[in-house]
Amino acid sequence: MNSTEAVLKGEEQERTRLAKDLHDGLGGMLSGIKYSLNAMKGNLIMTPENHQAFERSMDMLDSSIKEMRRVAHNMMPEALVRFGLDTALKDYCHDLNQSGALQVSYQSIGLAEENPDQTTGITIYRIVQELIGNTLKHAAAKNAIVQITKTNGLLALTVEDDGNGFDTTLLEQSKGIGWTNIQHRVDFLKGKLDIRSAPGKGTSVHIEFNA
Amino acid sequence: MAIKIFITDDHYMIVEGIRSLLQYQTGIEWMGHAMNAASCLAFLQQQQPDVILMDINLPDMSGIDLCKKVKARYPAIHIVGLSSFNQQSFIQKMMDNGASGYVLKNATREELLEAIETVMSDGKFMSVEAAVTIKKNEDSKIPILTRREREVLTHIAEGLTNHEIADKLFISTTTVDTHRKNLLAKFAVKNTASLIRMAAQYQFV
Repeated sequence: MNSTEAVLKGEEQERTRLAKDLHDGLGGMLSGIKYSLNAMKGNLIMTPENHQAFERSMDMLDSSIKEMRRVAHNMMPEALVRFGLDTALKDYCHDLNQSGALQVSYQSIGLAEENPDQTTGITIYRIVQELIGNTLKHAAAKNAIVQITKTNGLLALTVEDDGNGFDTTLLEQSKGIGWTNIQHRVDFLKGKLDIRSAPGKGTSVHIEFNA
Repeated sequence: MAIKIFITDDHYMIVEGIRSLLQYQTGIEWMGHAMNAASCLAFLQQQQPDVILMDINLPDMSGIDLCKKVKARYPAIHIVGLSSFNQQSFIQKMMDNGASGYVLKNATREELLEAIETVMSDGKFMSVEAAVTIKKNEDSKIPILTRREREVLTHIAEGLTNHEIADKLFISTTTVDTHRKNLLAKFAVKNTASLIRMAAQYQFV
């Protein structure tokens, strides 16, 4: 195992642990508090002001639970560990569609029967997160495609958007942290990274490797 | 007759919280709780509730698997999934395994009572939030193609070989072959001739 691999693995293990602690520990407690408070509400006589303050606190508690769930989920999606990459990516794209930030169509071919192993799965998931993150941050795109296919032992990932695009020669001069991260993960998979983009033409990233 | 309720959840505060919500409710009889799947199954050998509120995350078995087991042994029991996961896959799997409802842990007492009543009358209940998540977008029939696939498709229609396409697009022949196979899968066809026919029908070429 080389050092990049070791770092990536360690990072994911730590994230898994943190996400689990957050979700099971803190999440369980917050939900418990909410139930206890809700039960109290029925048995208490409150002034209208107090009642309003109480409701506001409940709303804040709700937001805290939501925020906690969001953080834990971004850190390590449970679906990825339990049901594998295909389901996790489907959920990820579905959530994006729900949020209204971007219309993402997810397509997978040949993956449902056989999910890649967990380390590969997590690595691909992170690449997708990073690429879609770029799209959300910079592209001002309306639509995107996330596609993953497996044919004859070759895994191919395409992430594409119809946004602003950029001059790819700029990447050769200086790569940001995001692209460096992606490159590291692609190297880890021993894959090939192919970026096609031009101002006004959207961006299409294609990655393929043997799995 | 009172509806008999049992809860399986490993978080003590959740159990206590829900108990405090339900125990003085008329028409509901609180049967107790189990903190894991094994003790839930052991309890069911002695007595059977009408409704089990079941956490998805249990220490010894997932609620999804437990749900299947319970439904197989005691089909009359209604199961309501209880979770803080608002993820399509979890909800779907729980319902697939026989659960009649799915309630998020931030639900209100009213929502919980509604869930219990609905499943008791053989209906399906889902928290509003969960229902929104599960609502599937109808897939359109026209395949969605990536830019590279469109390029490859155009060249296939021009009659170029894998090798020629590879040279044109500066990619390897194996990659072209992958695109070709994926195109066949997306259009649900078996050979290049029908691929081109379908592509023309959808006006891709």
